Amino acid sequence: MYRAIINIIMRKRKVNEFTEYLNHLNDSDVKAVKAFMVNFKQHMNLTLSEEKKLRKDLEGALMYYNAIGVAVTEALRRLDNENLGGFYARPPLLYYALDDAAKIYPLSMKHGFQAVFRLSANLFDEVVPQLLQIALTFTIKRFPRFATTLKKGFFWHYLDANKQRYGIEKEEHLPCRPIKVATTGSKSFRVLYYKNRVSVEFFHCLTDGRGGLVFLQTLLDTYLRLFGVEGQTHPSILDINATPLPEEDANEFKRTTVTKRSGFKEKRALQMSGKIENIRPTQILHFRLDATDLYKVAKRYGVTITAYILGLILLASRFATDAKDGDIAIQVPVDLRKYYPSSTLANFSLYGGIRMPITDITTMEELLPLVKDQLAIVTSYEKMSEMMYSAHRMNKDVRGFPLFLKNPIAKLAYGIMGEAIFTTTFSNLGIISAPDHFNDYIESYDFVLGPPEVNRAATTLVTYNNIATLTITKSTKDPSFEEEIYRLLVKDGLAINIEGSAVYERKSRVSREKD
Amino acid sequence: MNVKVVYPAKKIKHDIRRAAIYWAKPAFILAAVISAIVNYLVKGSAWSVIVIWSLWMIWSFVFTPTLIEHNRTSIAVKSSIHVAILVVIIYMIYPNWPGIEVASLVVVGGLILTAILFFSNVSRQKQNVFPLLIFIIISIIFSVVAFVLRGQEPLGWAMIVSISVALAIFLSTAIILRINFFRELKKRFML
Repeated sequence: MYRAIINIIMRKRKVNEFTEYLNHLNDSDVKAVKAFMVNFKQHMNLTLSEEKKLRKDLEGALMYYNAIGVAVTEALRRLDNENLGGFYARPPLLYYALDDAAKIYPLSMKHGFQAVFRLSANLFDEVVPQLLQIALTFTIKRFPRFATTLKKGFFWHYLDANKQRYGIEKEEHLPCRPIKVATTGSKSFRVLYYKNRVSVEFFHCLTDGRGGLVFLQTLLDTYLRLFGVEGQTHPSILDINATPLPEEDANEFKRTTVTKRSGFKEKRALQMSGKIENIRPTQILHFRLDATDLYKVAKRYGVTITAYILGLILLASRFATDAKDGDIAIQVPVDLRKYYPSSTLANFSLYGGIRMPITDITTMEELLPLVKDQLAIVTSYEKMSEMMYSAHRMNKDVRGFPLFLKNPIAKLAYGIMGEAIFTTTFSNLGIISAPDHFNDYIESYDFVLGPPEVNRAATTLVTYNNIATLTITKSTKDPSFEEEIYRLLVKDGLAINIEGSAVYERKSRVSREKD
Repeated sequence: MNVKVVYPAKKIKHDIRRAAIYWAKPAFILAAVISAIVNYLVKGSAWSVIVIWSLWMIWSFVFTPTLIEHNRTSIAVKSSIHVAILVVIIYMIYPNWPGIEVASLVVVGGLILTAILFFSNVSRQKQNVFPLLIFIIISIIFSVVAFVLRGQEPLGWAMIVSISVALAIFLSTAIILRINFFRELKKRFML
């Protein structure tokens, strides 16, 4: 009751703020703002409550521009309603089948577990939420596949168009916590901001790392344009006012001409020791490294950066387990676009597996040639094509079974072939390709995998601005894994700047601290 | 290792549902097994089936609600179907009452409730028409089979009412949603 009254007062105060803002403008500016709002109305066919929220967003942005001294005409130019296109004025008619890699994600999700990943950009300046909200409002229309809600069909899940205001959120919770996709109109992604960081978390059924990156880059470009930064076009950024292309939603798994199947089944791998905590992730760690130095160290060993990091992970995994025999296996996602060029924003990645008996994991010098050879085989064009065919064929074989039959079978299969066959995951997103003007505003990128359910850690690497960020997502408090990686990196002469979260605990000292 | 903390940690809390699932699962399994054993030992009618189905209902509604499409239409449909099945199970174990007819009336009640929830906000709920359609189909099949098996005795009208209500709701939905009705079917049966 008390909170409701406060809300009403606050809302009224905000209305008054905008009225005050209008009052201090000259007549021509007031006319321009009112005409702008009339024009805004023409772009809307949402429910009244959603339309009100969007109007409030625009009002907030106008007031922000006023506060930083941007002229009304310039503010209205930047917020041009043409950027809304027809997206909010048309009924939601589109729907999208899930691609062959995505179909398993809704089937394998459980209460408290969902395949979520996060892409973040660390800006040099603090994020302005008013403009980030507008940037999302403008950007989402270029990604109709993302403006959807997950639904159950008779045979498969699918994505159903969902027209609403897509809101940003202030980051306050655990990173990569499950996204609620159950209710009417629920989203499969969230845009978050915290201090100088913009993050997007995706449910994996929507897209993969590469598709997510295109979304984040386009969002950032739109955000910077709202500050008046006009950069040149770049292949990694979509023109928000262009028409979405059919190939951006393509299920590219059909493309392979290989007809040999590759099995997904593997024997169980060793898991690192340490209790899996109820609050997951237990910690996020970003090891920021000089990319040139990292490259030099990898070259010194005669391997790629991916192989070098895999070597570190194998050694650290061995260090983090009490087991004496068995295999340590690392799941290595592979972006299939490198073999089959594609502009799809749907999932188009599979994985290769590096597997090594624990007794063979000794030193980097002995390990890396083996890792290099295995990596070349398991991520080869032939192997990936076989896996593509297998994934496509498997979905085709079971497509006639109703979803209520597939559901328990998929859960069982995921239990056997899911995380348990790997010790950990290492995903290298590579070097982020971005337009030159991004260098002046974006310091680094982060790529965070959601907390694993069985594995104790998941690792990623992303490079931008000569900063290679190695991220570790933990599901246990046991620090052996990350400490060993740190020790090995230092031993190889690399300087490391570590950022991350505190260990997440309920009612911990950190959680009570004010920002 | 010195970590510079760059993540907020203001709203960190236990996943209560996951904890509840973890603790309740053995209790539910134990209750089901004990009821089956006791039922076997004391002989007589298979009342443990009623217990097990009831436990399942509580489990699936309270502890593990659907993760996708958990909306008011689907909740109403799921509850109605579960209750109707419970009535049929009770009837099969204790047949001296018009259980099938009561199940038909439960279905009618469920159909009406679901239709009210659906039509009270069609613009938003039209995305959720599929559970309603599935319920209509199930209720028609159930009522036809029940009618054939039971004939007019003792309350044949209950099945006729169920079929009539189901058809009425089906037609109303098709008329109100028009082209969207067929579009929805196309989406839902996409292979």
